[in-house]
Amino acid sequence: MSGTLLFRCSVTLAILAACAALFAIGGAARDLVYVLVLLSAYRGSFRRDSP
Amino acid sequence: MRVAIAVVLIFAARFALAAWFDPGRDGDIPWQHWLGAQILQSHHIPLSLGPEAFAAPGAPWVPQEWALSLLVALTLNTPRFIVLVMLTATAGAATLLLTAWSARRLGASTAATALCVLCVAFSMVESYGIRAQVFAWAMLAALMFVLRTAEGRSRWWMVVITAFWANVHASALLAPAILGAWTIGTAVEERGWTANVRSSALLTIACAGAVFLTPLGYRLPLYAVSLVESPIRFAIQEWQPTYLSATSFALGPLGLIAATCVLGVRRTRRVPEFLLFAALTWMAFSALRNVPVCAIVLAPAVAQRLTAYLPERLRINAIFKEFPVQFALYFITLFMAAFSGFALARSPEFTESRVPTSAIAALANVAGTHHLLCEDFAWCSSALRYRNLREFIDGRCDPFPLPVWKDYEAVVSTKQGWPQILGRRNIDAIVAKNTSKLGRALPQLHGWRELYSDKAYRLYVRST
Repeated sequence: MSGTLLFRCSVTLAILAACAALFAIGGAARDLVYVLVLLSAYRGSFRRDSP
Repeated sequence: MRVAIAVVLIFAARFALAAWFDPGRDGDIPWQHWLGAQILQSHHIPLSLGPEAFAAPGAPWVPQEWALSLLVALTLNTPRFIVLVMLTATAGAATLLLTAWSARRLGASTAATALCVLCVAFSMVESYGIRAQVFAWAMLAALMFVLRTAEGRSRWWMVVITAFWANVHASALLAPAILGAWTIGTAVEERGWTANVRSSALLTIACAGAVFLTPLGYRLPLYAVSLVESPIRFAIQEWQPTYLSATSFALGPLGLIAATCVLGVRRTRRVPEFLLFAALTWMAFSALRNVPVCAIVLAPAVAQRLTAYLPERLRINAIFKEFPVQFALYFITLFMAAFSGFALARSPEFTESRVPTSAIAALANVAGTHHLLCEDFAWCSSALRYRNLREFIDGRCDPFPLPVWKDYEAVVSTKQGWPQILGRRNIDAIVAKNTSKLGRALPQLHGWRELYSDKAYRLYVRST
């Protein structure tokens, strides 16, 4: 269980680090971060199991 | 609200101090003072640049900040200045209080509300000063409060708010844009032309009409639209894309955007809230000056969503209803407000002038009319008070044509042929920082001599 949690945390941190790097590059990379943010927010907003 | 009020009190002290020391630090205050004095004297708002802007006399100008300029002219350098300081600090505090109130009306818990208000407060700190946009933030917070919490006829207060907002700042165009997005979202959510959609559409039209209710008439909305694709954005720091290390972004909307990614938007109005999130996040990413705007709009909805994980029944929320904790909270708040105020008032970074006023005064003391270029265009606003000084570009920024900006950029970055531009544009005085590229190049400029220098700045004039 803790191994799964560790894995999830590592993946989340890796995604955040990648987003930060893309954001810092700017231009089209920044637009990509924006699209990723929108997709995450859409998933968080419209999924059925969310509270 | 108790913890949120404590946050507001601490930041209000910080805002008041920032406003008090702003005249020495903000290059906009001098031109606003000059504009206000012009309006008081002539009883009309100038709609073009005058001879003081020697590179572009007669260029069309929409002085959208005329109301603040009047306030500055009536109070600066008088004992009444404290009134302006208090008004500006109150606008900042009102923005935070309205955000907190909005969150509470949406059902947010004490801790969730306080966290989100803190994000809004941090988003405002870097841009805070005696600026029209500070009053615009309060209007935006009021508009969002009514939009999310009011029903029936009270929703029409948004039209009144928009009319006031338009008289303060051109960002009032955000009001019909936000309402338009809300209307589209409501139509998608309710799948048709329902009563709610009709009401929102009418409000959008009314708010679009309200932005014309200023002395500038149709010019204000036209000006606001033109700013979106303004070619001079490259020269203005606040219009640059947001970067992660910007404190106002990192401690402000970044957390709110991340929270929305994880928690989603408010459930009762998913589609309108999602559209607002998409638009405001794009705005926050695209320009630093939009960072507080994004935080103000997102915060109450995020606080409401966060409450699912920080419900009111938790000890962290309930504890603030106990008297000893309340007493300790307000005691610590007052202590922190006083301490931070004292520390800031003694900080040279906060109190020292950032404008070369002595160099500009030295030039004004030399007989004759001078055509001045300032390395930072905002410095030149301080020259407006002298009748014998003309400015290449000053803090009014927007009305100066693109060719003037291009020449300005070529000179301050000492691009190839910059000395020829000085001749072609009839510039005969330059003020620059000692350590900058332009400042270091000035001593090598043939036919120019140093008229003034101090620890930070140097002023060069043509020898002939």
